[in-house]
Amino acid sequence: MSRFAQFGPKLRQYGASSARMFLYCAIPTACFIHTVFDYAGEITPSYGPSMLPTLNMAGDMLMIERLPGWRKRLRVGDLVAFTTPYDPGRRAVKRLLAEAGDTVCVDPKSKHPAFVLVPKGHVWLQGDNYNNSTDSRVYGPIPLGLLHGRVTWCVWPSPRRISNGADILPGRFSDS
Amino acid sequence: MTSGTAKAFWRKAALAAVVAAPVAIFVTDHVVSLQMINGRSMQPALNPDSNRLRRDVVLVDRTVQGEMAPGRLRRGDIVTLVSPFDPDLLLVKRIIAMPHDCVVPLGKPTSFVRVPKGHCWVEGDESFHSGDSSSFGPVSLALIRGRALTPVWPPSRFGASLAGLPEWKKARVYANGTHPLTEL
Repeated sequence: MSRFAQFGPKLRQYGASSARMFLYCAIPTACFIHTVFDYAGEITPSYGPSMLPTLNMAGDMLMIERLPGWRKRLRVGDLVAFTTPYDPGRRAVKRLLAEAGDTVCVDPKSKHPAFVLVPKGHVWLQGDNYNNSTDSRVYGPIPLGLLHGRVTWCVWPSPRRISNGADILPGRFSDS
Repeated sequence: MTSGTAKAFWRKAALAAVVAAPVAIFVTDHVVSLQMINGRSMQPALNPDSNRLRRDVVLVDRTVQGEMAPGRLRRGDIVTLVSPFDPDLLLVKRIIAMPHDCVVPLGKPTSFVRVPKGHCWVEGDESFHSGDSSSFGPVSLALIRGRALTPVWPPSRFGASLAGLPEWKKARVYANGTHPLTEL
């Protein structure tokens, strides 16, 4: 630790200017943190009513895990973070309801329910608050390439593990 | 060289590597990177030599990802994008139409496709050897990972222009669904 603490003063001792100090210390540090966020996981705030009651309307800080191979560890019932297909700048959190090859009933309450076969490389995502959620019922199946990671923990304000919710999903058919 | 100075040298080199690695990863992920092109779907713009061993390496602008995509991409740009059907596969295609445009799909001259908000229509230049929007429909701009700038390898191809939407493809695209691109 002390060696790292001496790193800055030592550079200055060698005659490094402030600009060079910034170049050698701040930029690599920022890039290091960013790389950890990109390849291991990150902590981000979440907003919106679509995941009630699992997540709050506002103020929850979520731990998003994306260690190598996270896509292969995804299971039906996991919470995932993804980019919305209609707005590349918006991210959202939803629950994974079906994987490629499954057949999903879009709205079981309608008179003529539509059924969708989830294509290869896609998943079906829905919010827990079915009445107030823009999800695969609007977007259709989501390509796996839009997924960012799996939500594993809510770290703030009340730390808790976000468990797989497959047991609370109503009417899941394993074979269609 | 005494063992002391050698040790100092390696220590310095290790420190330089530790400092440089995250910067290098950041730059290749978010600023600019190199991409080798496989296959013939972009002939003749990329891989003009049909010898499979002579593959182009292109310089890719990576600042067009995510929320930057709608503003920084244009019709005619060659982009790298994640395949909608396989998250581990990277495709290289040309953007034919941007959100709200209308496209006449290849092989279906009597039909129209409206490209939805936040989506684009991509096709390979060699449309008949290419799995593209003609087969899987409009793709989300969020799948785009970069924009090809110019080939850098082989050296003879350095600086070759990648611009240009073929005229016969322009005739199939209606900007905002109203005017054919050929009239603009």
